[in-house]
Amino acid sequence: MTRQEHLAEDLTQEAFLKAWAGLPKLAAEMTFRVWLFRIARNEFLAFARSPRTAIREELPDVPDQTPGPPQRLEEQEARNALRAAIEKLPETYRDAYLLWTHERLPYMEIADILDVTEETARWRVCEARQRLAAALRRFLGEQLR
Amino acid sequence: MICTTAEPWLLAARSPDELPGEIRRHLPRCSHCATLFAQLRRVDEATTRLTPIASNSARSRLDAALAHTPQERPGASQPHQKYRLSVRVVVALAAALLVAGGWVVGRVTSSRPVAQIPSEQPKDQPKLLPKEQSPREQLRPVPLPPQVAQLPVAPLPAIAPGLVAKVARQAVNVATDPRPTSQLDALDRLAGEIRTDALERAVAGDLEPLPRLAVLHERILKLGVNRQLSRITGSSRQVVATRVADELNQSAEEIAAVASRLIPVAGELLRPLVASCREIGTAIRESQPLSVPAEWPTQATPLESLVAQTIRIGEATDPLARADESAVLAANLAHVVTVLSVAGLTDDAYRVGEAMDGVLEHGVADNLDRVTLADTMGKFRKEVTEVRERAGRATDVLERNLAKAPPAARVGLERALEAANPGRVKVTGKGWGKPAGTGPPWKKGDGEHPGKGMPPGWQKKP
Repeated sequence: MTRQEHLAEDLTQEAFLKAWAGLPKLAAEMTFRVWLFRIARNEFLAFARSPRTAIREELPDVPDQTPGPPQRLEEQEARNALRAAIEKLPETYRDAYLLWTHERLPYMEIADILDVTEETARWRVCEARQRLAAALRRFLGEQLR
Repeated sequence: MICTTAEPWLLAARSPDELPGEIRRHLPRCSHCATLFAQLRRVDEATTRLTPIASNSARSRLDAALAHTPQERPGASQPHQKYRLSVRVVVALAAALLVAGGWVVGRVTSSRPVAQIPSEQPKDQPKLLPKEQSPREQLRPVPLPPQVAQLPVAPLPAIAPGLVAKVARQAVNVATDPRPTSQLDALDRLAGEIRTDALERAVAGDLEPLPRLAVLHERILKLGVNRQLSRITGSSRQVVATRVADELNQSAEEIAAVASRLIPVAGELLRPLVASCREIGTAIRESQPLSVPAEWPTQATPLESLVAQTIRIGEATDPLARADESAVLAANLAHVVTVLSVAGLTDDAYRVGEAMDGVLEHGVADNLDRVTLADTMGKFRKEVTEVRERAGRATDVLERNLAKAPPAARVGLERALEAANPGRVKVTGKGWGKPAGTGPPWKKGDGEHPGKGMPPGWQKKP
């Protein structure tokens, strides 16, 4: 969401600190995971509403975890294209999609975190997937008729 | 099973396990759907691998910070509704301190004067979208590309879409209940929404809309709240006046307190809000006359149009006039729905669509029913028919826009149409028809599956 590694770490730290400080007041009916993600999202929104004084930087390349031959140029290009396509998504779609993929949250919890209906959360994820698949068709091999 | 039925399920599922049996069986028989599903899953997998790894020092910094962070005492009482503002402001102040620090550093280190942001682009200059500009470059006027012809809609509202949806909800309350006390309450809440939005923007550093919001706030209080108060008779008038005056003075103190802690330019832009709360609160308490507010702008934003029309409904006392003004408000809301949908703000478009439903049902239909019941001689039959037709025509624009809308705008328009349909049926006797093949399959319903919003057999809330 922030596209900046250090900023992401800072906001994550702030979110955890707020969660820690407010933990005794966590409502019984709310799951911890949803509550924590809500805090994190609010931290990001508070930051996003402030004027940006730093130029945005690209996310650094994730180093290849598996030992082996160097990355092929096409895989690198595909990764860059995916990153660009994710950045191009409307923020609301991107938030829902990243919660769905990275955190594997069910639609109900995504809806709680984003304060929308479950149906809306599902719509946003579907839209995001559709757009990303369209943007990356060239790298996905087989063509749809 | 046809592909158009299967596709929404494929878009919403992570793995074949999450698909209904019928669609799972369809996949091996259909190369199109199988390919689509495989591509979607590959994109998801690649996205998961994009996550950057946190630095080694992040965990140790967090541990150190946690060790010095006290926990709040449990069982703290919920803040009163009136003080909800203060709690949110405290959280936002933390971000404001970061902004203020960055702003000060920027001002001290800048060697060039800050350029003025032009209020309008010259009409004869070509326009290009800025790309990857620094904040300083963004302050200079940048030409934009020639506009591609699309739907004939106004530009995106200058004020936050969320605020428009909240204003629309209060407009429904004004249209629904003609009693002065009820209308006063709705207009008072509307003014409160404007104050809250202005305060959040000031804290966040979004300063440009503040002057216009402050003037709008003053108009709501003087032309809306105060006028409704003058229509209340008897002893309850003083009780209501005291309550409103107390709330306005409380708000003035809260806003002044926040303004004093912000960077000076932001604090200054909040002063008109403080002044109008104090002036109007005092005048209401002491039954003093109020000065006339500023004229409405000749080019109003959608938010200002909504507010003006809401105040007009409040001023109308007979049901036919209220129905007529409500029909105009419904037309305004239809316009806002289109703008929000084109901007991809689906949720806000839906909420405004819900407000349209309320205005059509309670503002238009209920008032026309009152007129018809009282009009035993049929003297106002023609006017009633005209208002019904006007309300219907004003909202037909949504259906026409849907037919021409780009794909990104269709979702918002469809959802708003659905939300507003019951009210439209009540006013005109006919609803909006959805073209075949649009919308997800689970919304159509065949009588054997659960209602809209949940695919059959989908995970349900506990």
